[in-house]
Amino acid sequence: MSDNRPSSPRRWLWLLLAAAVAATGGIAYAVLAPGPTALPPLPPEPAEATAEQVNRLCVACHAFPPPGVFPRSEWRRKVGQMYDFFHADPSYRVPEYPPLEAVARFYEGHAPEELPPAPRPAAPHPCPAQFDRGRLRTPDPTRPPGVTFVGLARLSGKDTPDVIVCDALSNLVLAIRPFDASPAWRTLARGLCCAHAEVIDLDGDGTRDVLLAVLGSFYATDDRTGSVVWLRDKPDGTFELVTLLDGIGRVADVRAADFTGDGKTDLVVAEFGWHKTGGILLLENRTTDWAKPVFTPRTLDTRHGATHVPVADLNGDGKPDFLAVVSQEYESVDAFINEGGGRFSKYLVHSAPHPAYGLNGIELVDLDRDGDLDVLLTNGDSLDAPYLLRPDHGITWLENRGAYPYTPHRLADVYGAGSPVAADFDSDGDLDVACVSFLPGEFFPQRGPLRLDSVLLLEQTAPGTFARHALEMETCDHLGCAAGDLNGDGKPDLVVGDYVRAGRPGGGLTLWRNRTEKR
Amino acid sequence: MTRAPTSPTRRRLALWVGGVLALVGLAAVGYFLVWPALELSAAEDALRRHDPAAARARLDHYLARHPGDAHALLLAAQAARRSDQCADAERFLTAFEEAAGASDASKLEWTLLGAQQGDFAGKEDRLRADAGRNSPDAPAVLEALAKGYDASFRWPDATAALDRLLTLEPDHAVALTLRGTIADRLRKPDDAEKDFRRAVELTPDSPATRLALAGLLTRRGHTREALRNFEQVLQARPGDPAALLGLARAHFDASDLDGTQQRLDELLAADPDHADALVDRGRLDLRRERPADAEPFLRKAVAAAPWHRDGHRLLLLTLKEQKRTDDAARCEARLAELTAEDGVGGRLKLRARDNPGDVAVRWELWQWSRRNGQTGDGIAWLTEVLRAEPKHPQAHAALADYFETSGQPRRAAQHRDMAR
Repeated sequence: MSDNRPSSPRRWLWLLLAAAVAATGGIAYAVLAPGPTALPPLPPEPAEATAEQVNRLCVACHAFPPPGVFPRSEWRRKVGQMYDFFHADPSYRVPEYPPLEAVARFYEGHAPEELPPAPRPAAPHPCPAQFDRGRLRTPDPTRPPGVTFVGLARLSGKDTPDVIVCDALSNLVLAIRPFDASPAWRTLARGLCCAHAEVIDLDGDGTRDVLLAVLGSFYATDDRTGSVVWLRDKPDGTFELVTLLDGIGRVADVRAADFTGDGKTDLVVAEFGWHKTGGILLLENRTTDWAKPVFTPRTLDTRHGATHVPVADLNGDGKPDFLAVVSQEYESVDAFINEGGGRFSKYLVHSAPHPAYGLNGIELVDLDRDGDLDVLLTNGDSLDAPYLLRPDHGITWLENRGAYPYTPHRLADVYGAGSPVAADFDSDGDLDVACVSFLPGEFFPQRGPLRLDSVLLLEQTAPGTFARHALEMETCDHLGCAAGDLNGDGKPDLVVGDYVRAGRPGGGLTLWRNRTEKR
Repeated sequence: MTRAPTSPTRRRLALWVGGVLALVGLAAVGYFLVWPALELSAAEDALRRHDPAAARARLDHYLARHPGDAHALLLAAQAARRSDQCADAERFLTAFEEAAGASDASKLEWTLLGAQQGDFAGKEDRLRADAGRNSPDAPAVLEALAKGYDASFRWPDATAALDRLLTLEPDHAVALTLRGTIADRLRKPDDAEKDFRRAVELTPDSPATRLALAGLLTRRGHTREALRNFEQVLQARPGDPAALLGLARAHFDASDLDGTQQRLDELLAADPDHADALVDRGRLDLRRERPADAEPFLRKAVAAAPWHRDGHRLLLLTLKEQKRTDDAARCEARLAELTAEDGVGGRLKLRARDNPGDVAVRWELWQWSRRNGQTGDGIAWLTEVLRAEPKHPQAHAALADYFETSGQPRRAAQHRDMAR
């Protein structure tokens, strides 16, 4: 039998050669081809910043936020945001600032795991104010309601006021007389995403016009989508849309008064903007021909985040002044006292305890009936991530004792509080307070299980003492409400708007018809 | 004549020399045949693993030695496209078709290359149908569609395409990175971080994925982790401008001003007109309270990018701090012009939102974006114009210019033809 296999040395030679080919290719591939790059080591962690360092850094732009303002898990992101603002503006003078992570460590080391719950004391007795509740759907049945503003004004010239509504989801400005025999919506303007409407005779022709604060975009942006729009009353009962100013940041409020004393109605504008846009503007009325109205803007305050600019003669000198609520990181209420000729002096009325306070609503009212105007103030802005139930949200009475700043009295802690109003709801001769709550369901799913208050009435039981009554719970979908006698029975009713960001069509307004007997 | 007898030593020596020569020869065969085959196979594997950057690195090596290999050229076109290096993708694809002629695969690649830039060329419906048929090409089509929707600001469409793609292939790192980017843009940073981290886990050497994660980590206050990720990108791609700028900013957060300067100077040495780097360099000197040092950087920045809002704002600050009243007034006037431009932009965006079919306003928005340095946004508006009016000649001409300057002459020529 012959053996055809190569002899042993030959076989080994062939094997060796094959191995050499494979090895050379493989080695070349392994050595010369690009391989994975190693992840460099983590740089050493900086030491925790001292309270003094953190304070020095924070107060360069706003009040020092105490660690208890956010839970531990949120601070790093917040500090990151703060450094973005800090770097954006080198005019904040802090030559030697601590590393971001040193500041984050400071807050993480001192913050609570979770925010504590807000106290919600039970009402000591049943609510003396009694209401019948009714619902009104906004006119577009295909969309959820997006009511950002509810106001009462005598637009149609009748004895009782009309309800004026801004709907920011369908971009409509509407009016309705809910207690007419057949209430019907009247569309005042289309295509405008508004935050506020005020009925006023701007051109002095004896008819009622509407002044609109136009956000342009409900969602936060620095795009210059804001404008001030005048709805000029036409003889046929419709309105002509006249833009008085546009191309500015989102406008949250506009109010009218003759600030310059020249007999013409000027406007003060709260340009909320967002981070890079915003300010408080005076629009001086230079109109000579109302076919071509001319309003010249002048910046009174460069801070972004102004939400409200209600007008009143605060010092009793006969000239209109205004208050400004400035939110975002500033969180203050300032009085702009009219010095004449369009000049203003600014006084601090109230400074919130920290820059995440969320100021969002104001009403000027003589709450203690001592003859001067006090301030009802809410802080409940819930639209900033991380969507926390903040125990410091609520409603505060700033008592005017004739000096600045006003004296704050906390009336109630209310998650998502907004749109404060005052009226004698229980007919006992003093003023009570109501407010609503906005905690969108998609961000606050716990609002149902926790049965959070969504419409709250604070009954004034003794001067400066208030008892809390929840008129409605769970459906915290309200950005606006208004109080007034809608049906002419002498008792203040309440109208509450719905803003349902991600929800079903339907809803719109809830009417709380006051049926409290005189006491 | 008799041959001298060969001594056993000499014979052994000859055998050894012969053996070594044979070994070297065979080793050379291994080097020239086996290694390239392994490279090509690794590239294909990287593409399958959705790591186009790794594939591209392999293919660059391979093509350096086999520049005419049609298969490798097609793979390189895919890798480049999937890494968003569209000019390279077009170059490889053109080389492929020159070498092997147009094929179904190259035609699809050409369509996908356009689609992922928002240039759907009337083929969007067909691509959607292809993606819906669960064909082998469905993942590639969905990836390109998602990128194209993202480029056109059609984020709900992009998210839907990505969700479907990730249902088909849960470990698709490119899709995870893009979904994270969109989530970040829509202010959902938790979702974004989750996607980025998973993508990095799957493709640890992908610079694009790591850059996305590092950028997010910077914004979320995880400076050290961001620094380490940016450094890793720089190891893989030395001199990468995005990594250098990201590192500079992370060093700024870490209060390491020297580190910030070093990285910015590196970047500016390679690209002296990099507007963002110049602005940050000026910002750094302002932070050090050296306004006179900041001024040249900021002047250069606004010369290179006359639309740069931050550049002008910081320049104004330096001029005011140096009490240069007249210069400051001029700068303030320019800022006022830019603010007025922003007003125009705001009005146009509102008009576009309220009038979905209005071609004219979209065309104006393209022009606005172009003169304000927002080319990416502008391209999105151009795609909107062509969606509403596919034969809009000015839009085709504008796209032709854009593709020309971005190194895609063939696509530019196509649009130039359609502009006529």
